[in-house]
Amino acid sequence: MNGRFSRLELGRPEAEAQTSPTLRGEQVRGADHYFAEAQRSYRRGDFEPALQLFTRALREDRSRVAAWVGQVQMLVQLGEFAEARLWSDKALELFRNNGELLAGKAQACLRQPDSRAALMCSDASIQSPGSSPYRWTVRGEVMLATAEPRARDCFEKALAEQGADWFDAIVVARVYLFHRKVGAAAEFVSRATTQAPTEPYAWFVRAEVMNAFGNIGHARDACARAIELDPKDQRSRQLLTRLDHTSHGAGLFRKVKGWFSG
Amino acid sequence: MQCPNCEFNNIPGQRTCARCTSVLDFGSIDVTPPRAGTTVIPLRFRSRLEIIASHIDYRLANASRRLGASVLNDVSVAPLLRSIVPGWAHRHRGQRRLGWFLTWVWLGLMLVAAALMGGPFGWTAYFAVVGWHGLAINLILNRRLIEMNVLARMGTGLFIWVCLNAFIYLPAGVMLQRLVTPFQADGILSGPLLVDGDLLLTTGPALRPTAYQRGDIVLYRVRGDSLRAGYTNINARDGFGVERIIGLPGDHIEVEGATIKVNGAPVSAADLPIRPGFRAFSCNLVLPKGCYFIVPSTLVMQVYHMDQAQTSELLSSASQVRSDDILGRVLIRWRPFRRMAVLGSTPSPVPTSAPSLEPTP
Repeated sequence: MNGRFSRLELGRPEAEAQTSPTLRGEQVRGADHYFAEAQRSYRRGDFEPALQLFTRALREDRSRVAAWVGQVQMLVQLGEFAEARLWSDKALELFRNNGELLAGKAQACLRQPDSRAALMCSDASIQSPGSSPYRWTVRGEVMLATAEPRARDCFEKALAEQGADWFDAIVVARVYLFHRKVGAAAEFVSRATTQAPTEPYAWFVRAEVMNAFGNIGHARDACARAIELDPKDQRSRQLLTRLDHTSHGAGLFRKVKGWFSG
Repeated sequence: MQCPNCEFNNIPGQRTCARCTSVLDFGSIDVTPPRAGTTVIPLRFRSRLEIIASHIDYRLANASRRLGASVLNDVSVAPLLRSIVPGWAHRHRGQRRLGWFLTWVWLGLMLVAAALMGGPFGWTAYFAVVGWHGLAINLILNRRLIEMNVLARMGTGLFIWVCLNAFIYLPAGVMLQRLVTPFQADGILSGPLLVDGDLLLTTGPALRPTAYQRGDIVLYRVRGDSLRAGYTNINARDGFGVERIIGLPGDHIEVEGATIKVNGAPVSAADLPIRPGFRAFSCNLVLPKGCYFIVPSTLVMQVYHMDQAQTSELLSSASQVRSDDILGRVLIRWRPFRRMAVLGSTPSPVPTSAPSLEPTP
């Protein structure tokens, strides 16, 4: 009897137990963990690690729409617009008419730049069920790029959405900065630093905006504050070094440019 | 089974959502997003390129720190590497229209420079190409340049210009010259095929054929010292000639006045020398190995008291051109543009009719 059934593949619990990660001493980390880490990285402005963490989260759970949206957002933030568009198309094949993904695609299209496709995607995004700060931020960006006067209303709506916090104000400020509307960017970044005065990334973005505005002194102060809050922040240190090398003439030129760029 | 998109509760086992048609079975879907360049370069090559780029980036950062230069601090090297083609980095950055504009204008300027090469405006066009390329790089470095003072900006511009010349355009020019070499016909008797002052494109050293065909129009070197050898009443100088190959190594050549025979058969009209007429001479020889028979069209020499026999002997020796002295095959008559033409070989293995050549007075 033993010889007859000894080769049956019935599963070997002891072997499975030996190869399980917990017994090997590894910590089991699920999609939730990676997703939360990715969000944390994104809110620190570390887009490359955030993209990797979103991918890891998706490896654990491919049905997590927010991670797909996160990947598209990170690709946009990293300046890989064609890839972001391609990836949002793929994600939209999986999740039809998902509002967040449509917003991501709209942003990628807009920055490529393909304003017509961006407007269509943004329309579809707004029309799809649900609402979020990201959708309205992208809507505002589309309006801003197409020189529509209601862009600011869209951004205000994004910040008035449920769940919006200081980071959404930073996102809006970065959108303005991308489109070289430095004055408006400074206003939103000020809101962010008022809401979250202990966030180093908010101060870093403030320094960037102030630098673009030509206000070198304020940029230095913001950088110093970011470094004070997070002494390991290399980005702020580099910016501070760069600011130290900026001549007065360049600062003045940027200031004059900032007056005209709004 | 709940749809992750619309939260509709589907029947277990369904592959797509009954309400929003989203996918419910994610088994084998790849979740690694494409990155810039993966669509063109395979991933393994891209990762290697990235390693090399980061290595260069690191070295440059170290070097700049050591030198105390502020120009390359915090400047990402990847866009600069992409700047090898103007507009590539802009397109990669998302500025598609500007990128294509920069690329097309650059290509147009390159074409203009190619068309004008060797002429008086050739260098102007060259500087326009390099200048446009430099402008494209300046646009990449725009933010950094704005932060600099005027002198640093000028220095950066000069540095870019020197780098472009030293690392891209001059090496490219040298490599191109190894493929195709321009030659300005100078001091050559005018004829229907070639006029003094024409710009010809010849094969460069890299494309030089191992053996030439009968009828090939070639650029060859005329050696004054070999012409002078044995004569005291000749003062010949070095020069270049452009002529058609009449005989190949081993051929039996007979020249009697205006008649040329190769292996006993008269040379056809298509294989005659490109010069409208040539000085009549007589010779009867078998070409040694590595020697081609080319009736000389360009001999810059002064001759004192030379009889007919000596002239024939001199022209006979000048007609035997060693393969080392043949610099390349003439491909195209490039300029003037209205006379631009491909000057291919017209080999005729079996000569049919006797040529009627008028000797040069």
